[in-house]
Amino acid sequence: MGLSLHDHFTIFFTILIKSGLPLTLKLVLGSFLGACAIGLAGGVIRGLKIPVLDQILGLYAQLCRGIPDMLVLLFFYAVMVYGSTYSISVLAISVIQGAYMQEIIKGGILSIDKGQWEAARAMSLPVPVVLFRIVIPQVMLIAMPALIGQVVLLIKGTSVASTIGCLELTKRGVIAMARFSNALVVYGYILIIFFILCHALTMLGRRVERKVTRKVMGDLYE
Amino acid sequence: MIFMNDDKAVILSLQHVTKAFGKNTVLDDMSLDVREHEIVVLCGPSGGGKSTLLRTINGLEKINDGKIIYRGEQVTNKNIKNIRKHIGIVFQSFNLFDNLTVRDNLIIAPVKVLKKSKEEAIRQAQEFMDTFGISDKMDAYPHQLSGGQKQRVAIVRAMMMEPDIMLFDEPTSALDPEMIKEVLDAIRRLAQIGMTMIIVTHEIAFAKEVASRMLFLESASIRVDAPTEEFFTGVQDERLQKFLSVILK
Amino acid sequence: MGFNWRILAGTRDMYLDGLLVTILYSIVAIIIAVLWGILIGSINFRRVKGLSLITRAYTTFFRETPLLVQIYFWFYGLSRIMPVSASVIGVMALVFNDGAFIAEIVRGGLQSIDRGQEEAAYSLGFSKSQTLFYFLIPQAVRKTQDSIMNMVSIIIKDTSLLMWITITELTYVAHRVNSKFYQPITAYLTAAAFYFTLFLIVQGIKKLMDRRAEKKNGLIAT
Repeated sequence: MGLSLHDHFTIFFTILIKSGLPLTLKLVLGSFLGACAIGLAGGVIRGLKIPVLDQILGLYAQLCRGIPDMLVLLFFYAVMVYGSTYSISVLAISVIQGAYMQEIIKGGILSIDKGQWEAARAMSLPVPVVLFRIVIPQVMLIAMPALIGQVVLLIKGTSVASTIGCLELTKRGVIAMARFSNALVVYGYILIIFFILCHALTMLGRRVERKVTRKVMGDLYE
Repeated sequence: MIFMNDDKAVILSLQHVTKAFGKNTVLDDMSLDVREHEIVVLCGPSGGGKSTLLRTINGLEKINDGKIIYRGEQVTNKNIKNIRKHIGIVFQSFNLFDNLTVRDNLIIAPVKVLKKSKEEAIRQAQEFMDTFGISDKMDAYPHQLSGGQKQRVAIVRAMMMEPDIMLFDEPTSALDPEMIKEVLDAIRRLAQIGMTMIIVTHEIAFAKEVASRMLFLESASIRVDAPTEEFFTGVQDERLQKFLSVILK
Repeated sequence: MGFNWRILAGTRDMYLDGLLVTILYSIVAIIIAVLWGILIGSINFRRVKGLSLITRAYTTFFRETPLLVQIYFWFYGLSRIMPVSASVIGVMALVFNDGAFIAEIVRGGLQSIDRGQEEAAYSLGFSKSQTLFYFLIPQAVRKTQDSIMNMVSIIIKDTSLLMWITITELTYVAHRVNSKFYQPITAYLTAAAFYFTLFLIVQGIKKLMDRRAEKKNGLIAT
């Protein structure tokens, strides 16, 4: 029942790192971009409190907070006749994570000092300039730690793609189980790989947070 | 109205302006003319409507009744954006854009709103910064500046729009005492070049020195409106005397 | 396509069974996870020698790896070593995962309590553990009740992953119904409506708790 060193090597490198990880990373990147696009658009609309749209997007966020990712993914998989398991997964994860990003960005916009808006209005700056030069950069700074935390959740969330047959890390492990049937080793390795990805990001998040605190609070701590 | 014995043109005219926040009336039927090169100082107890008055002039607060006329043109929702270009405002809390350097804070409006070239705007910014003694701060971010420096940058930022008239909303009340002077000096400089200004301030000594006209606002209306000299010596108003005696102590 | 009420009528009992399973697992997992979280959070807060090194590693690792892989790890790993039922493993996986998040919430709450509280308790002759149980933990839980209630919503959603280890909860039922009738909108929307109702109920309880806390604080203030 024991696995040889060579088996360990095969599971970890050949199966997981070489064939599983790239697709996981692609899933992360694809859904990250999708979620950012949704989050930015939705967050700005909600931050500006544009009537009707604001309420609709609020409901969308609530729905995503209340309905399991698993159910959403299965639903997309069932209704989408075309599209690979990869693109279906990216779409489903983007829709779910986009809602969270939207709420973070909305919160960031609302937390911006009223004086910033007033100064911009007093100078007659056009709305796009105010948004892209002043508001969004400040929101990004304030919301960066929360956004990074959300990306950690997104990375973990990609593992459910395995259940519809997307050949990412988890699915590679499920397949490898048929051959090696040692769950502690196979899934243990997958956990470790995910942990390294997520933990690296968390560390980055902590550094960014310190930086942000310094920027917001001034140079008192330098 | 136009043919008053003063030969200078009226730039700004408030006629029967009324503003209420819910049931709370903050401006009650206020009228006021501001002529070119005039320096009007508004004083009075807090809650008297001074800041609100300034903010309505810049369209930051909508008025419920009356009208505001800028150079013969009534201010409306449509033209406020255009008129604002000629009216600079300096806030109590500076409101510099936190994510931009001083340089970008100064040039963003001239470049994006007045469509000036970047080089031209930077040159002009540099000139102003020299005048106000902070030319070495061009690359700094707002959070690296002292309060006095921030407020001087805010003044320069407003001046960059080449305004006709400048509004100051308690420009020194968020500052430490030792920084107040540098900001007041900056305003004095504007007075010397003949800038028309409306200033809300509690610095009565400063007001006495620069103002051409003083207004005393209390409970949502203009109680006293007099030339500076007369304001301090000749006006018989019980409330004003009481206010002055407290504030001059 | 569209919503098919006939199918819904025919599968009503399946859904109700699934809902019951979801609620049951949620309640059991929530209760144990909160207790577990308080325990681990307190150990991390107190920096218990040796022990907190392990518990800290545990909270970090379990928060930064996917729940689905953790479930597979326990289910396929443990069942080889000892005979445990899927339901025990399901609850255990949820408790280990979500309990780690609750532990961090509780630790944060404990850390935010003014040191004076602790000192006052010591000065009155309370022991360290008495202080923790009588004063610090109750305050920390009250302070973090919002975050803990959010975890309740998350745990309810997390139970959906248990479908992959043979537990016939709500998402599993939806999946079954869909593969039987090929009516994804009916099948998944029904489950989504149930989940969302549960979510709204939890939100309602959260609001009630907030109001009660406010009233209580108000009484103390006057």
